[in-house]
Amino acid sequence: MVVGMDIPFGACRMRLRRKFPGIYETVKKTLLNLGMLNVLRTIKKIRPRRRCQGPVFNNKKELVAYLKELKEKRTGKSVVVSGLFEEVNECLKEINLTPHTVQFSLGIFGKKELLPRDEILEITTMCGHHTISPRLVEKLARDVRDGKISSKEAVRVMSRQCVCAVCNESRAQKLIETLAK
Amino acid sequence: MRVNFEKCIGCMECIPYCPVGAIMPQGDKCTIDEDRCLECYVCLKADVCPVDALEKMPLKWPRILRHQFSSVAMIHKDTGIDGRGTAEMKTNDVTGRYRHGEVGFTVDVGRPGVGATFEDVEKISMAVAKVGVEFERMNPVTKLMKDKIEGRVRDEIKTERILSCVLEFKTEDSKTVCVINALKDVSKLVNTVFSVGCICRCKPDGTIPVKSILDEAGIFYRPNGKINIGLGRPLAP
Repeated sequence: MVVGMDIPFGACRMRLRRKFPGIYETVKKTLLNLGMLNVLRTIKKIRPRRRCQGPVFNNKKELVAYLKELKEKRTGKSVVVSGLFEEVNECLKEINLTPHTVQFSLGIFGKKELLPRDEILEITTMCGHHTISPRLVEKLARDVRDGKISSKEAVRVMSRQCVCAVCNESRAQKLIETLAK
Repeated sequence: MRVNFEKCIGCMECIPYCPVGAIMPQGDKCTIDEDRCLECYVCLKADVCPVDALEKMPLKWPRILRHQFSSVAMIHKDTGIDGRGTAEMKTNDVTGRYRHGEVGFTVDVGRPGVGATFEDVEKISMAVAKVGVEFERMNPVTKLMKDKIEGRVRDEIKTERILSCVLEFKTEDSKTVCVINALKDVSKLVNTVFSVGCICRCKPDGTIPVKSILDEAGIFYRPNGKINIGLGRPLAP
């Protein structure tokens, strides 16, 4: 299970602009006069905002506790849980929540012969942006098999490639051990 | 990206890091296939070259699109969102993008991990446009369309290759099956893969209207997915 907290940055700015247009323009002009607007834009370019961040859970109890805390905090920010619909719904029921919007995955279409084999795909698809290369996974599995590195170290190398840090490391370790056999 | 031949010592450490295999041996050194390279900079960020032989090339239009869609760190100027530049259903409790009676689709072209050209993207967008869909305005691919009714993209970008991009559109839930059939048909014509997501606003009691449509039509969907749990504060109407 993955809980990702999504901060609707664009939506917050839109809300401010719509509700308080005078304040929005004043703040913008002030920042511009101070030369801060360009500084902020530069900072934004250098340090891209981490939009998606959230822990990975492997048990319902901890997920329920985390979601309960988020609910009580009332941050107003969107929260998306990725997981088995049945299990997540059970967790939501415990804290009197119902799903607002869901996304089903209908699978992969097209020229599937271009895909790496399933055992590799299971690992590379942990990173939603596909920055974990299938060739890297194969190489690491070979290195684990040959005793050059441990499976834990292999997962660390792979996880470093994933910018959004939602790679399920314990699951990845089991998969790479299987691949190495 | 390019390999500086003067610096390269041929250790081949960089080769496995490219998500699409654009780095390859050439003699006793490495080289990068410029057409295959997505300008994602994953190889550079891996920081495995002991002599810093991997170098960025200056990127002009339209090649810069490769970097914009393939680099996770890029913020799309049109949407203000990083990655592929889409919010999709993740903030639907705030934005109300997908309403009752509607079904949304995300078509992740080139995913997982194959990459795609905008020529393939256009084949898909034109196929679903024929069914009658509304492309999401705040989406970087929609911004590249010269005709949002027919789903045509700008001519000069068609040969540019990207790691993936997301087509986002919605339609009435009565057209769900037609859209999926159109996607199945066009899937035979593209030189890539694409992953399809189907989005639905839930009823207050948590039931999911599109689920019964998919079940009745015998359409496969995975038992896992994404659930927006409704904690976001809606934008003012």
